[in-house]
Amino acid sequence: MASDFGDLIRALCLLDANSSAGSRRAMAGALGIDLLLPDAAEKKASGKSADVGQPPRVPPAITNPSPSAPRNTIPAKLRFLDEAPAAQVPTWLEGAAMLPQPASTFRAVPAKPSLLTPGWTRGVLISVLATIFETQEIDLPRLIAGISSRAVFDDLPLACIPTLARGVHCWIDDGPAMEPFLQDQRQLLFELKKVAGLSRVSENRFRGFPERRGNFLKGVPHLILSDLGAMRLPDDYLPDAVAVDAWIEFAGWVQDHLDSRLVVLTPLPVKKYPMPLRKAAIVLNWDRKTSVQTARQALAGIL
Amino acid sequence: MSTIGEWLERDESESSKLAMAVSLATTVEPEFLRAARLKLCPEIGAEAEALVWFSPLVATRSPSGITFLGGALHAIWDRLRNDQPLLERIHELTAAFHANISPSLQWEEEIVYWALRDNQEATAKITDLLQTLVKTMMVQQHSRLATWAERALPRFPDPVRNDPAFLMLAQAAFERGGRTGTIAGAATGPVWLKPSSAAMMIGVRLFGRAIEFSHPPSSEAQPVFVPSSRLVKILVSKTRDFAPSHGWPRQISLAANTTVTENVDLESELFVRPAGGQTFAIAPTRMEGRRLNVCLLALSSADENLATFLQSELATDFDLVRPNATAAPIQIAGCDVFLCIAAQNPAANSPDSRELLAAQECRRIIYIAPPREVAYDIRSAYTIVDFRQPGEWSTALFELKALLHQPYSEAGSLFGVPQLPARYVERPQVFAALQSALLQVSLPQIILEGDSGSGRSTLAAALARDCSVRRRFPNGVFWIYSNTPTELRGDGRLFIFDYKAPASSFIQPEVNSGALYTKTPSFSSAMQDSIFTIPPWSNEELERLTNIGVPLSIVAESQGNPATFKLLATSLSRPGSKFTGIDSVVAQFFAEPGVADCIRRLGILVPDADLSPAVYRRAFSAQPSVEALNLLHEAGLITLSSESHMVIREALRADFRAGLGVPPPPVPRSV
Repeated sequence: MASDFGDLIRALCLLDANSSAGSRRAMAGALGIDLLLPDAAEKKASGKSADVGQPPRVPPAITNPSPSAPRNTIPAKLRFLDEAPAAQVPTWLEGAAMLPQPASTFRAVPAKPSLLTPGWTRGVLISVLATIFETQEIDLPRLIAGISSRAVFDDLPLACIPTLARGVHCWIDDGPAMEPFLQDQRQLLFELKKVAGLSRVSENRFRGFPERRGNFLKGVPHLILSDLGAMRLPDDYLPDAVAVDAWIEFAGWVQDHLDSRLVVLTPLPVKKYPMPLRKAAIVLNWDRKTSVQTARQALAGIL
Repeated sequence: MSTIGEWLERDESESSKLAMAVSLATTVEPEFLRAARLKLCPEIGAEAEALVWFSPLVATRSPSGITFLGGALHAIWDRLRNDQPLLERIHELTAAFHANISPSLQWEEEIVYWALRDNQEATAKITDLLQTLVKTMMVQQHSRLATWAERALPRFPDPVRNDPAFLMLAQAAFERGGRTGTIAGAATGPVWLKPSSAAMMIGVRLFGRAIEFSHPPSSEAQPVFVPSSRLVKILVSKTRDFAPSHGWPRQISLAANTTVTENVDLESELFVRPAGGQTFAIAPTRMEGRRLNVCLLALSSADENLATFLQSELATDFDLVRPNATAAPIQIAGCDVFLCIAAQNPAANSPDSRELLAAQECRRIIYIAPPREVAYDIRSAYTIVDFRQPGEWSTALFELKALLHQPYSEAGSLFGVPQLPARYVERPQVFAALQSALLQVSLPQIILEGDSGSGRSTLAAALARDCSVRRRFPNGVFWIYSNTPTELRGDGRLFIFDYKAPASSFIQPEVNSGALYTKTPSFSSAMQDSIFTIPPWSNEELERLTNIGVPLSIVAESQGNPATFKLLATSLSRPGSKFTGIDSVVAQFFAEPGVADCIRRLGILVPDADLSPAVYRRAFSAQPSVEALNLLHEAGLITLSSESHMVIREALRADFRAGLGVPPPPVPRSV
């Protein structure tokens, strides 16, 4: 009907807006629009005008006044009331101080302290996200040990070091439960880019559960900044229903298909998450108590 | 135990400690929540932040911060009062963290702190702080502090509420902001607390079951003076002390050039208090009985017998009023039904403005065909009862009584619909086409398109006031400005959007409801075929405009369309008219200091005509600010769009003054 509506308006305007109701209905009908019937009262009035000379119709039975009939009242005039009696200006008013003028029209508060201990952030991130990478330097201790034990080397042993050179896939939870930690997510992403390099951090946002579509490189660890749906929200929120099993499956997919690991930083205590999830992924408490040592312990538990 | 009490008692992860640590703050930002946790309760984990954030203590929640419910704060403060050392540490942190927020908010936090302090000095300190706020409100005269007070005052703890300056602060806030914040006595302040701004007149009347406020005062309305403002706040109460009880008092906002109707139960006298104005009572003269109030108008003076007959017969069932010709118009305001004994020949009828007024107000009118009438083709749109044959008057009377007892669909009230221009030029064809669409399509949704200044809003306002449209939408016609808080739902309502409505405003009309958009909304792709384009003004219509002396200022908004503007300018630039010398006026106008900046900031388009140098010099040389624009608008020299009204209202606030370098208004003499 909407497709013909404008045509109807234009037709009514161009042809004759004051034509009879029948004509209007016919015009609307031609356009496939079903118009409302004219107002009953008007119809009655116009019908009566056609009955000139006829005896008055039998009047309808008189009923009680409708309770919805408006009960109007007639204001004779407004009556202005006397003002409050305390008309004297208090003496203290003249000597009272004034509020200072605002220094700025913007509300300014200090920056938010980070969730992780500032000096440890870099260490914690490297601990859990670094992958082992062969350098071009000979691993002398291993070579000496091998030669001493008369081992045969086909290739020179090269030194391996933990590094973030492979980069990080960072997943940021946009769900309502992370609302108090929005600034922390931004801060950590900034720190991560400083540690790993701008081009080595891919930022992905999700709500509820990450999508597996995308260009994921093998061996690149996945970092998730989320409560994994464990936060209890007030009733007026629509929580993102995510089962723990789904996260366990996601961790398994990262491990099996991408040959990597899933690291979760959550503001909730780790003990809130079931053991299978904590075994499938590295779940770290995103708080000041988390250090390089606790990060390594978590890493050791899974690898 | 309440939800708040349960939450505090449960103290999951010691989160109630954290809630206490941030309880002095007016708004708890995520930054402050973190700082308070790390400084005051470092043993608590990050989870506590989320627990507080999503707790039942919270009233409002946004990414920039949370605020607590008043009840929650009082429960927390009761605990905090018993731990004075902790209170000191919290105060120290809060004051340091919020050192750069608005001074009124800092004062609020400071007042709460002193109210929780347990020493002799506290009472004097609280009084001092409250007096500072009263003084600032008196001197600065703006309503921002009043808005703050409306929110903050009800939350203050008892030691603050018991201070004499507290009530004065509430009263001063009411006089400027129009809200009492549920504080008893806030609406009954002394005269010296009122703002000292210039006065303007609004109209008040009882209308059906409603009380109606209008600006400018509508016909029949009683005039009341209030401080000049773009938005008048009014309190309506059933009691003289305006004490809060069961939904009373009602708070009403009346914007400039609009009419607002509030449904009330007229059982007794109503007390009305405009913010900054004088309290008055408006009393219905007929308070007992529930009978219809019928007003008999004998337009045909030759039928006195019939009038006498009706008067005697109807008096038993109805409250019949037969005002004489000299009765004040106000006396017919409350009539439910108008019985008009009217002859077919208009020349035989006595001219009675009351009939016209009733028709204009969409009131219920029943015409009585007196003897000697031969045809009924007059006023066929109204109900007519046949009293032509004196021998059948008893039958006709029975029919008339039946009609009077029948339920009747009243015309919908108008909510915020602007007044029509004083010199309104009708465009019958365009009007009739739109009227037909609104009346006959079951779920009308119409976009009015047209050049700037082509009269879309005026046409929409005329439609909104049309009786057939109002009867089609008996539950009201709502004029929606961009920031009008309105529930856009309901059966039998018409919503008129007089701004470029965003997609979020899109409504699917319910049964018998409709929507009319005067500017193409952002979701128009879904309604491409509901667009009605207003045709340009024809030469004949322009001639009519000229003849009634419509000044060029009516197209103040048409600068977006130079063609329309030029057409009107050409048409109206007659020899001897005041639109000569345009170039020099414009040049001088924009050369005035601050004017160009002011106009740029407001986005207001001022016509490059109709401003004689003397007028604009008087307006702008004294005070180059938005107030000057107001002056010009009130003088009828420029027309401002509805959005501009809102912008002006916002702009009159102190920060805008500061932005333009305009000094604050002078200190009232009473202080």
